[in-house]
Amino acid sequence: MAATKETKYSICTVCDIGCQLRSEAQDGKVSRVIAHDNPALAANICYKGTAVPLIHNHKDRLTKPLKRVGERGEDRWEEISYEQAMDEIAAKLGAITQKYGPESFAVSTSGWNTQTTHSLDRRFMNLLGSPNWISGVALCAGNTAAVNRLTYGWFPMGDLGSTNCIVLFGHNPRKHSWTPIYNAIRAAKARGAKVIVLDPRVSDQAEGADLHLRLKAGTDAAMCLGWLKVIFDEGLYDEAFVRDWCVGFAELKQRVDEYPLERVAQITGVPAEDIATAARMYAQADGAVIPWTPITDQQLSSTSAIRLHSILRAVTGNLDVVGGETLGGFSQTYIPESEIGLHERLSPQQKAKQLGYDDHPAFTYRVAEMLKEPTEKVWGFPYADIVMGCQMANPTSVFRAMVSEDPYPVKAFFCLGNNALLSYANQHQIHQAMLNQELIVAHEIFMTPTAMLADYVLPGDVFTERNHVADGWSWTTRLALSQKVVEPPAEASSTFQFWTDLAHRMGLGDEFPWTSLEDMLDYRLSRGGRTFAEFASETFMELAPPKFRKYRDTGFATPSGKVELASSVLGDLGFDPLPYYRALPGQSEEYPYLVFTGVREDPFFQTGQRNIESLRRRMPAPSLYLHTSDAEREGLIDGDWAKLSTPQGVVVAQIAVHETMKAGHIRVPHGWWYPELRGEASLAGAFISSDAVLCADSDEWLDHEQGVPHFKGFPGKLEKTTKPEQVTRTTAAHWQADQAVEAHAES
Amino acid sequence: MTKRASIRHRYLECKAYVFAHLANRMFKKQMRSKAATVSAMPQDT
Repeated sequence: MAATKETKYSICTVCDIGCQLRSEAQDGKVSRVIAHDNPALAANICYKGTAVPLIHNHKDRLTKPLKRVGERGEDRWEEISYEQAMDEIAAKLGAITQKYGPESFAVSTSGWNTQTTHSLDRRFMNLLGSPNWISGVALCAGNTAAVNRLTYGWFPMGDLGSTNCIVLFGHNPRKHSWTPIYNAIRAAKARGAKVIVLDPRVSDQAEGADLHLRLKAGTDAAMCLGWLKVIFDEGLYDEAFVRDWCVGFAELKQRVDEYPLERVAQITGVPAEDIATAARMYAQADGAVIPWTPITDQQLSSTSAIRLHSILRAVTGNLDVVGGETLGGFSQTYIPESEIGLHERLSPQQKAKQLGYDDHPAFTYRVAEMLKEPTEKVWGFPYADIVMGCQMANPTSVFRAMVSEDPYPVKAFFCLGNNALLSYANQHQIHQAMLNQELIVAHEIFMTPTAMLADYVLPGDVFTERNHVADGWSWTTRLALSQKVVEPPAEASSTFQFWTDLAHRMGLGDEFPWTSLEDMLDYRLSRGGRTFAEFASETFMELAPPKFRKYRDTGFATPSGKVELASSVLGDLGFDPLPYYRALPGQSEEYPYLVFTGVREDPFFQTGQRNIESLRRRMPAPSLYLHTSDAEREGLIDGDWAKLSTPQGVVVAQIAVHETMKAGHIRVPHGWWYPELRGEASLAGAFISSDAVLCADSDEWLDHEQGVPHFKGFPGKLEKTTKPEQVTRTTAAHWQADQAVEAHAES
Repeated sequence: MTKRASIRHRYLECKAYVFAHLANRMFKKQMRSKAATVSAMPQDT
């Protein structure tokens, strides 16, 4: 009898957290995705993971290359062969970069979705001469990594397994969102760890927290300055560590003194005594962590706020200690993407053309170059591209240049695994930017509004269709195995293949010698003296034995070799070397609410999965969340439709009234569009409910140092309206249930 | 840091180091037993 059923280890890429689980295939199709068989990993699966067969076998998967035949955005296509598509793309890209210069080529991508690019995109761009690579990590995690490096030279990972205190700045891991973090927090609480939540609303994590501070959206930096004021005034900091390993303490203390608790209470809306209690709880814990949060990433004072998290970790003695936050460094057995990207091959002249380099340099090559020497000294390689985020162009600067051709034209735009139109601030500008392109290429698993604007759409593969060894993009020191269990459909292929094939067509083939993904994995694993086949037969995960307080041997990877409480890099660039709070532009009578966007909902990741029946069923329409008192004042009830306007734009969504919301705030979920409206509404309803329409990216709304737009607390107003005519499937009954997903979601 | 806390940290550091080694051995053992199970299954003919 033939054995046609197969089970292999996988790393899920439906969201960014990368749960390790198992995929089953039967008769060439993924039939089931189930929990890992190791007890330590078995709880790390959400219902999106259970829905993977529905995603990967979906009837609308792109399987053939498409070439535009109508007007841009008209969504009319002809199928062509992969060879023809690649030949034409290479010829057109060559002509554009010849005419306008290599910097006229920009790429927007999401490493979470594409998984196995192995930095070949950066390698290709660096060899071609373009610095203009952007990604959603500019708004989330990647930018945090870059800003952390300013203070102590790496991006630490919280030791949730041993910590005694967890501080969540708006971060809200749940059973079905950021599941492994949720499970780790639960385990920590079970052994007595304290949890402090700072969130305007009563989030799931806030409900179970030891302390919940309901701060006003967008005031994280002020809150942290208040904590430092308490910690310094009451002598709760690690004096020996500060004396021996920090620079700039006196200046910092002077800055912190500008923020007495009364002032901080006024800015944040949190009583002074609660701020003090939280600061004491954090500082006095024997091992405390402030895990990465997407909330602090996206504020007007984001650079300062992220630096303040770093500073809190350092001055309380929680840096690179057990139960605190560990600095991992590069893997010693797996060649990191930082090396594969060949950043050293991009000339200084081209690096200086990177959009954002002059105005908002914190995560651009400008800062990467300033940290090159200490990074090589401490970590052994000069370019530490942690979470892909440490030498990016600034997205706003790229889109502005695409529209205005100032400071130079950007005329070719590739989007890989990235629905760029809905993924950054100021969606109307991104639309204009894309309409002003001579070549747009999308590499996707489904047709998206962004792909509809392309000249060529190439079908992408998914995680069950490829082999991989994941290293958390250099953020973790763990290697994890993901195995191919089925073949990609028809002509679908990986981004690894795309960049390799393009390079060979553009005369860069010698620099792309790898013949397959497995060949690339062999190369990367060669640092540990193994092949992929050997690794995959040996283990499904490998942990690097931790080493703590490594700075005692090497110092920190900063210009001074110390923790820079006052950042020499920011000072040299003409910015304030000390952290500060920048007040939000004032609210007005016309726009009485504080709107916060970018919020993640359990059934979806970013702009994805709205076409998956069983997931959409769990959230059929986008919701605007507001407090009962605000709903009463506006004459709105649960289920009404409302128009939310900001000075930047207008969207329509359904009202969800919650006691848990903070009065005066409106919460908007991220990334909504309507795949079911393809062919009925322009770009499948991409402008009806998308939060990116609401977010401004004019200078007054950008963080100074990174140029990150402010998503957490900008002015808005509400008005009752009727449901848009085209939007019809707005109840669960309109969407088909799946037994496995339902069972897991309700478990 | 108090002496007591310092000793506790040392203990936890050693524990973390040993845990990584033991976990790696356990993962390998699990993988080997899985491979043995698969090879004992009926194969395509």
